[in-house]
Amino acid sequence: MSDIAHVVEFLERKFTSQIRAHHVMTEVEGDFKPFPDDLHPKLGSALRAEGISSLYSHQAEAFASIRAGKDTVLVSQTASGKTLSFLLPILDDYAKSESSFGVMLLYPTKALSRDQESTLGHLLKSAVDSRKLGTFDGDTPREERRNIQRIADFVITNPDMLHSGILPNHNRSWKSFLSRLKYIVVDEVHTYRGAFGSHVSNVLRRLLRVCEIHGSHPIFICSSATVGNPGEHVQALFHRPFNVITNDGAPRPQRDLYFVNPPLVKSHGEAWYRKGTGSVSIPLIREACKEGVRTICFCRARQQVERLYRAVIDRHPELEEKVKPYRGGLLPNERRQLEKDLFTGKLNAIITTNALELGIDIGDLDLCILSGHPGTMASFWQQGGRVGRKAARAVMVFVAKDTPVDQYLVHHPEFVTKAPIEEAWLNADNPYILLQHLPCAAHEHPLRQEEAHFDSQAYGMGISVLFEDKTLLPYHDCWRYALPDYPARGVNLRGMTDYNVDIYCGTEVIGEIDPIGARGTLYKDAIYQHLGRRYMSMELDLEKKLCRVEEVDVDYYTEAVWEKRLELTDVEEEKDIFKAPVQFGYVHVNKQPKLYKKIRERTYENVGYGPITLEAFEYDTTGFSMLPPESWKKAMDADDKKYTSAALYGLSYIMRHIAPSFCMADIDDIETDVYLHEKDPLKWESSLYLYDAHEGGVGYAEKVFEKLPEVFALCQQVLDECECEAGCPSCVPPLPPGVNDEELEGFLIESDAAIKCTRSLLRALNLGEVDVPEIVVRKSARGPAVEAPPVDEEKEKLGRRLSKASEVLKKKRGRQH
Amino acid sequence: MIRGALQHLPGVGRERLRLLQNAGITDWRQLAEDVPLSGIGPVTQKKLQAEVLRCEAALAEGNIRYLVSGIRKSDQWRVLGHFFDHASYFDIETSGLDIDSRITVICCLHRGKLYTFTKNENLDEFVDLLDDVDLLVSFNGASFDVPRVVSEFHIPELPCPHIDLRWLCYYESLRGGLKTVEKSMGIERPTDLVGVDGEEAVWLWEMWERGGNGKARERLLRYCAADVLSLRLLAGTLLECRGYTLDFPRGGAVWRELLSISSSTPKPVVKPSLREATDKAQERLRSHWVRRRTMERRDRGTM
Repeated sequence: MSDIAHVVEFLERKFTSQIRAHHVMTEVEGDFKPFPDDLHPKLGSALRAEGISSLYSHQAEAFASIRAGKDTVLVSQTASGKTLSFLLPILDDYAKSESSFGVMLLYPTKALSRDQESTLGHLLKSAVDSRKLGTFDGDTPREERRNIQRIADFVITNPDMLHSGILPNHNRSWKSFLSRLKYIVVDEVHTYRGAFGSHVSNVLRRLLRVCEIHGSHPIFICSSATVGNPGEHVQALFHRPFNVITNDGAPRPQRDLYFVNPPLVKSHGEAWYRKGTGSVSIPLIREACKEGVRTICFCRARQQVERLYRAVIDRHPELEEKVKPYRGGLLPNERRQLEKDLFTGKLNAIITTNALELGIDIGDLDLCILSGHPGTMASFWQQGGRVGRKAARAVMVFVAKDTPVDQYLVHHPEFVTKAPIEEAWLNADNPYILLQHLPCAAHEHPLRQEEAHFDSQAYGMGISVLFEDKTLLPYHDCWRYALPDYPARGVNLRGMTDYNVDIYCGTEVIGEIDPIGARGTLYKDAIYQHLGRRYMSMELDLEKKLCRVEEVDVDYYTEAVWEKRLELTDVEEEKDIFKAPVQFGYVHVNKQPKLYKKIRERTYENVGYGPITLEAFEYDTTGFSMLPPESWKKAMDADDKKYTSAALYGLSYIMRHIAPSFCMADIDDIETDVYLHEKDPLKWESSLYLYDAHEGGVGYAEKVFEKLPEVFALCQQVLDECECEAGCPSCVPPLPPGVNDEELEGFLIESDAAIKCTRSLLRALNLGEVDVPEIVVRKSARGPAVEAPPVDEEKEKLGRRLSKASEVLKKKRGRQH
Repeated sequence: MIRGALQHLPGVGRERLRLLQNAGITDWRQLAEDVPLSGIGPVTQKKLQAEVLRCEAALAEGNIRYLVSGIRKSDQWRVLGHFFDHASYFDIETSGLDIDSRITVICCLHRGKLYTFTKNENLDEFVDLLDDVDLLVSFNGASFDVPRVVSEFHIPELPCPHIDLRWLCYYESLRGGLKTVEKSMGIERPTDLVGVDGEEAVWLWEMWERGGNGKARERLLRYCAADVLSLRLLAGTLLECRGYTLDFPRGGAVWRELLSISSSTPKPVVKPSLREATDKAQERLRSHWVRRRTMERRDRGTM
């Protein structure tokens, strides 16, 4: 029996009752085509020398399209020879062309571009006698930069470098390259979505404008993992139609997909809870290491990766060198070492976030564990595609979490193979994002009254705003940049904030994190985990962008509890859904981490609280506020006024989990909450808010607002199909998060109101029916077992007084000395 | 005399130029006629004649930009001589000599009047003035002043043609900076400005911006203006040596426009709160002077 078969046998034996489905994707044979007739003979022989005697059908199709000068997007799975698809026609052109031309290769991350350099260099060298390839990013040394600018024809870079390094210097060091730029290759184009995609779209507009100034008109060649709307997506990104190639001709081995649902267990008291994904992934990773099966395990959050790593090696010190965590926020040399170790086989298993989702070559893997749904079906397949690149058999194990989407998937495994892949979405004319790029564009070259690459309406509005605040000044029928600074420096493509907080221990920087993440994870006394070591945050200084941590030995981790205030400041659009008024517009958000919870590892018990004293984080974004239908609310209020709140909190919970799948957002891109809304002047009512978690808004809430009936229908379906009796985290938990009213909290814990009221509200929203639910109150019910025991007020008070007294005594002693 | 510029014409190299001059051809109009020229083929001759016609048209239209961009650097003095009355002279001062330094002061002698532009006050107005300039003249501007103006105002290029006097001096075997050239030509500046240089200009600006010292501002403006006035004198004198008869102020009248620099200073934009900064700037200035005096004494051989 092969090693992977041993692990499969272990999985099937140990988790028999928990395996909800086993789906076998049969082996797919490849569709091969001969080399194109007009392929340059040098390239043909170079390919044959590498053992390639034919092309996959999609590679042949791409060749024809690109050589015909069409903007082309290639949609195919990982390991289907994408690099060759776009490189072959370019190299063919390069070999036949009399004068050399420029090719820009854009990769979404620095890590990926570094990885590609070796692959491309190899191909280039074998095909064209040229070493005119260079990687231009933040890590490129100064001398090498000059060399690349001077002689390179193939430049590998990333959007951030293009934005802040290449475009601002287009008139000087990059003039020659840009004036002969012929192809722009954009790999992993599906990652350019949401806020990031909107930024990149504007950077590309700037690039095309600058190219036009220098007299070049490059064409785009993109490759994408599967998204629902590849053509529409690239058109939104590049503002031009594309030739879309979707026929994947690459062969695939047999792949087994297991759906595992950890069991519901009853804790002491009445509450039920579902075991965590660790109950499956930990033994599976250990077994895979024992058998030498190369494994990758995906988690959602960085700190979750660290916790899982600790749990795997807990009492298994022999695994410390076999398994490692890999995530964003690690230092570059740490990341590269891990990639190398995995590639060479020194490491057996890696636990990671979506940081390893893209095409970094980490060798062939056999087993992929998904700890919970990654948020989109596209990511699901992208992560799953990490295995079975070359092997004869590959196994994917999806372990469901206690969330509505995960539970839906384990109950409807066919959804995974049949459901359409999400659409990628971005809004390049997002006013907030456009307003950041117009000054950069003006800095590069004065802006004309009309610019062909920008949407005229959004552009005109942007210009007038920037003129009023004196960022732009009129100049010869154009607008020139009027400030003395360097505008690209203040625009970060990947987030609301343009800097990172350095985390240091002693005198050594051990990692970095964005400032919003820092507020939520590095407040004073927070536990921060890094490559299996635990640190406690001693001091977070957001102004100095520094966080001092010290290594500690504790058995808990911390989670922040945030307080939020919301206000719909401007209404842009209104509509009624079965008489439920919904208003879309600008939302002002005021968020503040108030306190943190200490949660014990393994048992997840709540073992204490502490205060967080950081300034509030405020921003404006787009979103909507929905009031329940008047008639439904009246009927509810007649019975009990708490029903409306119960339904709103329930709906808020389920919407937050369902909505991201409608707009290809991550769960963290969208926020939902129940807050007061001024229905009539001075008349406030509880309302459901859903808004973008990005300053200025990114269009997620807008998309959800457009598709509200479908969103409500899916919410209803998830509720109806859940196997629980009185609500569970998979649909609507008895006590949805966010409730901060004690009376309501008590009522929800003791009753099945949350799910019944939510169901009733959804019926009203989907069908327009009003039915008052019969709520069952169980007096014997206690709080959920996973909650901490109530804080003993007296004991706390005594403790506080004693520590105060001890402090006074200490001071006194100090004085006497 | 401008028609004596022949080297930019197609087919005319250094050797051919000598042959043409030996043959008595000193005016491009002489080349417009269909006289066979030895060593120049018919195709090249056609191109040459077309260029002559374009230059003539540019002269007739007063298209200085065409002439400046076409004519060789070694012949550009002819353009300046021809359009001497159209020339505007300018000079800038910066907050430092490194690449990131900003422009602090610009002076421009335009249509006989002196204009000054100061950072935090009216610097942006220089861009508007440029639109009215027919021909801009600087000393070493091609590598220093013009790139800084372009990047300061974020404009793609100068809206007017530009001639760098440094080339004219170079071909007269006058090497070195403006002060050195002045010295070898015997031009003397007003006594209070003797010895002020670009480095001191940096301290002067610092004393004004950070220390609110109005005298420093005035001195800086006078220094910059003196550079500009000196440019006109320099250009005029050199061109007269080459045979032009020109009208420009001489003797004491050269510096008359310095009087237009007001001694009344506006309120500094940055309040003189940084006493330390002022002291530091003055200290640096003092050491600069000590260094300079030491060097001068050494040059004179007194040390």
